[in-house]
Amino acid sequence: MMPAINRRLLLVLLAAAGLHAPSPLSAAGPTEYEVKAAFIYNFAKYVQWPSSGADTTGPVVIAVIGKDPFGPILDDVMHGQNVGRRTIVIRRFQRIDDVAACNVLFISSSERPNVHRIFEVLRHAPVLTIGDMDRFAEQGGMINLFAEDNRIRFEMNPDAMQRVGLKAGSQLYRLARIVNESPAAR
Amino acid sequence: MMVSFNDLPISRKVMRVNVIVGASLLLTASVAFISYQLVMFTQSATEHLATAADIAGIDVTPAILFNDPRAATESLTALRATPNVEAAAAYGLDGRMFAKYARNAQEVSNLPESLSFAPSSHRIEGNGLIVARQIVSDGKPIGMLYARSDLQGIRQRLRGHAEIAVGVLAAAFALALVVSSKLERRIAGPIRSLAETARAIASKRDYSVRAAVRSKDETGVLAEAFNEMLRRIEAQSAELEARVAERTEELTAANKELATANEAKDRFLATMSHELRTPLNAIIGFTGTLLMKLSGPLTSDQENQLKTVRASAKHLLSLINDLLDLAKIQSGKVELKLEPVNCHSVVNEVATTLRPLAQAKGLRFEVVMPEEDLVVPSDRRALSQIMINLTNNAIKFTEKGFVRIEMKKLDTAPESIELSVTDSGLGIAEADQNKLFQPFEQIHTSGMRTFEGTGLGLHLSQKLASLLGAEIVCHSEYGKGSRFSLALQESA
Repeated sequence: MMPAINRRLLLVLLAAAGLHAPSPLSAAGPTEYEVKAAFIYNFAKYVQWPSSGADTTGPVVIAVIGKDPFGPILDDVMHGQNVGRRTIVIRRFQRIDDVAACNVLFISSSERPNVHRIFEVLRHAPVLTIGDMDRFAEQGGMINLFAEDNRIRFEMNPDAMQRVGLKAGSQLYRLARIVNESPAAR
Repeated sequence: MMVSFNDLPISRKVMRVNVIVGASLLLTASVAFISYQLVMFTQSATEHLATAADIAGIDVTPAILFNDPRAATESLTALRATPNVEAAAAYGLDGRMFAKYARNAQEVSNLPESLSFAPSSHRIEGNGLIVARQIVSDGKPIGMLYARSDLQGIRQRLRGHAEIAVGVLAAAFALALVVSSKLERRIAGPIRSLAETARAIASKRDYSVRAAVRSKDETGVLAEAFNEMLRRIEAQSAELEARVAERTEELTAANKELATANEAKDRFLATMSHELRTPLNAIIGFTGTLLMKLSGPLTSDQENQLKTVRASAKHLLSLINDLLDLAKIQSGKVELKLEPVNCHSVVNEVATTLRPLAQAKGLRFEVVMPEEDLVVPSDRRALSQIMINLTNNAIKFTEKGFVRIEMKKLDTAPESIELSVTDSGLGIAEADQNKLFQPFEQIHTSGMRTFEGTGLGLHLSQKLASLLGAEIVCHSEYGKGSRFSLALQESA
């Protein structure tokens, strides 16, 4: 039996699956951030967190730091969804010092000046960092979303993920553009 | 020309039955085996293709989730490792084609433009096997994966199996022929030899031949029974021959005895008749002398009694005469003297002799004859004896009316003369007419007195007539008189 599907996610997936999908920026299809929210959900599914010391049964915490560009979209997309058996919880923080334990952290472009600081704080924390700004991955971010040919694509920084014990499937790497971080980020 | 199965020799029947049974057995087995193989191959090919499609579906899932058709196409290209897959495509939840793969460029046209999310299915279409599988990730539908594979593999394997089956069939057929021809000799051989023996016996009637008994089965039993039958036929025919010979001997002896006895009887009769006639003549003579009253007067009683004595003696004499004649005829001692006989004189003589007798009874006595003299070769004594007999009978059985002797020429070729005696007497019932000419037969009619006579007259007359080459014929109707006639040929 087909499981109940979040209407919004379905919409996003439908758009994503179409070869001739309209521009994510166009008004007719899903918006850019609707697609990005779906991507974040999918990353949560394809990334494996280290099992040692972490809570693997509680909810997956997806957090946004800085000015939230999603608005209600993130809540709408994630509503009622699971990662494996784990539920999803959305949290929002304004400052890096407020960041509590989370599994995924979307760093808003409003935090561009603070990314080094944020990466410094999270240096040993198994948190999947996602951003959508230039040179985000080169600077030590793990996944950076960018637009290409009217499609949202993503860069991955395997070094940053390995450093904290996060594993992404080879399937994910195949879809990504692999980025080597600049020596300064190490 | 087709020969019916029933008419085939047993050897052919045995062989044919063996071959037909064997062939149908093998054919059925082969067809069943190949059908089973076809089903199994199709099933396993479907499972193979479904597995390949599922793997491709898993592989292509992230590319769909992250909207990356190029990566999806790359994923599908991995299907090249499965050489039977002609073409495949991934479809999103909106049913649109997301990525495709084709082994050869022209096979792209076989892919549907769109495919909406539906339960997994498979089917055979034309030369291809098609599966459509759901792509599901984390329990959520992602899209469909469509894959088409050729049936080349199945075809090749089936062809291989069919070739093996045909080979086995041919080999088994040949083996069946060899085995059945060997068996044929064992089964049909004894029956054939039995049949040949039977045919030989039937054509040569030689019952001393015996069939060979080679086995203890039904044919052996048959051969033994056949031999037993032959033994019995032989024994019975020998016995029969012996019995026939014995009977023949007995019969010959009996015949000889009978002939001797018959001769003795005839001799006895001839002798006795002669010996009896002599005293009878004396009785008649002396009774006549007495009745002539030469030796003295007689009272009327004496006269009547003497007349009775004379009548009885005369009757006895005629009886003895008839018996003597009969005995002579039967022993072949009658010698007829054939000479030209004038019928006129015979008839006249008979008429002269018997007219007084008829007139004494008050009967009209008529003689009808043509003017001309009619002469036939005959025995005068025999002919007049026949005519006297017939006329005497006519007078005896007629109470009133007439007795007519007639003579006329018949228009037959060769010419013949008919002599007949007609009366207006009692007549003879038709049922009695065939008994007329039997010896000692008198026709007894109810209410009539028995007429005197020996009962030998007509019998004797017929015998004499047949010696003269003629036959006495009787035409009569009861109550309306009788007509006895015989025809004499003019030239012998």
